Amino acid sequence: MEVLDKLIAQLRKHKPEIEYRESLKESIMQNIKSRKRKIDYIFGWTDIIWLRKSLALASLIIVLAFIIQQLFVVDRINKLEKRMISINTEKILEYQRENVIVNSVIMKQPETSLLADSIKVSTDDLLNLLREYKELQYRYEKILGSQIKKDSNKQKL
Amino acid sequence: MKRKISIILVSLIMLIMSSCEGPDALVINIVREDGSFTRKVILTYTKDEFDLDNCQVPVDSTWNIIKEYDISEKGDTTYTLTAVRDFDSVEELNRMYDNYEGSNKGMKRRADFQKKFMWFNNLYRYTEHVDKAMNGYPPEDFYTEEELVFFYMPEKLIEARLEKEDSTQVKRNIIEPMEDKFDTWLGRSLVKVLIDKISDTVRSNPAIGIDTTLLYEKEEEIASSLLIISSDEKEVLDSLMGSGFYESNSVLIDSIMSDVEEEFDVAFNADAYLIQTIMPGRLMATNGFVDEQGNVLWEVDGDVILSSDYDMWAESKVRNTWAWIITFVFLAFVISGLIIRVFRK
Repeated sequence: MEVLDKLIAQLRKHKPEIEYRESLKESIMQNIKSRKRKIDYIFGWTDIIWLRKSLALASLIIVLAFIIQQLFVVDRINKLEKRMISINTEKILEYQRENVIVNSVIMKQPETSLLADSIKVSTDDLLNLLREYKELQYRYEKILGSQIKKDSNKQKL
Repeated sequence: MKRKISIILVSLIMLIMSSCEGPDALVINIVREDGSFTRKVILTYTKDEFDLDNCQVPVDSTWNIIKEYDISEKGDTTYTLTAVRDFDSVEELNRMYDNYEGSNKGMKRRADFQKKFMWFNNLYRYTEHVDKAMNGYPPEDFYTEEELVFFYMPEKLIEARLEKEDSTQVKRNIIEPMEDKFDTWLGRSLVKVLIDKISDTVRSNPAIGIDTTLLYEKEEEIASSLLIISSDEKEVLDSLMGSGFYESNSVLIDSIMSDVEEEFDVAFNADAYLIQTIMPGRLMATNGFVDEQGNVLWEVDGDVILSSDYDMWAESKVRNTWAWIITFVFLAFVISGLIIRVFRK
């Protein structure tokens, strides 16, 4: 501690003189100013009236264009909701398989089909009728199958 | 003579018979941002007999073809042929449409792809267009807006719609009135085309002594008379236009009738098919129907192309992320500049 006190006392006695006090001061001030200058350089355009106004107007136009475009998109997407339907590709293909089967039933006997008849039947009713017919046939064959099975079991016994 | 009247009568069951012969077709277009697309044609039939030359849409043996079969629970066998091909652009498809000689060769079809740069988003529009078969009345003149939705709705979707709770109401309020209007629309359209053609002929050849104004006035009556099964053109036209009208103009009427019949055949013989389109990015708008997977669906059949051009279009958007970043940086720069200026003051 004593050594340190002595050193401080010595320094007090011989005041250190800064040789270039002014230039140091200036350089410190310069450094502070240059930071400010950088900001001024980047945003200097704000002092030029026409540039400031143009960029502000451009920003406004961009924001407006963005809002209008987004509203346009949202409106179109909302309208799209009206066209939504609950079907998918798999269901369509399933329906097509069913449809060709039904059509093959009609085409088996074309002479007794619609052209020879004067009754007007809607497509949906006709397809429903044929589907019911196929369903009935399927059930009938199932019953018939189980009957044959029963008979063969009886015979085995 | 009766044969020509029969085109009107037979057409009344056109809906029923439209898809009775041959395989059912589903066309799937997977559209990409650069305008290229993959086209998949799925044909379903009860026999393992697929005639690609006579398919609803152009397909040939150069496509990648896969065949499968399916046996339903009820024991019915159906065969499926899937043909896939990549297209660099719609022009390639249009060339195929131009050279097409299949069952729908009477149809004039075109595909179109458009890309629009909208800074924040890129908009894409894919269209498949079919020209109308004849210059009759557009369906919009006869059907209400609600009915038109069902008019353009694929048959499969109508069926699905009729399985819902309010099916009786839909059937009574929409489907049945539509069926009644269908006869009138068809009859009026055919007669309009006929009169238009007579009128054109008379205009180019004034020596023909037909009062076309009177024909236009009587258009509705002619249409409704021709819809009666037992009617005969000669009787109908003579009763409305004056005795001897048919006899003195029979050659002209017969030749024009043949023209009309030829045009009508394009719609009458149309082999219906479904088109499904998958667009790049987010689907934005369409005049088709959007399914559960976000794909767009249309049906091309005789009705929809009879007397009005049929445009099947879908629009989608893809976000331009780089444009969003540039815009954000620019706005941040301008706004912070203005704020700094305010504080400096």
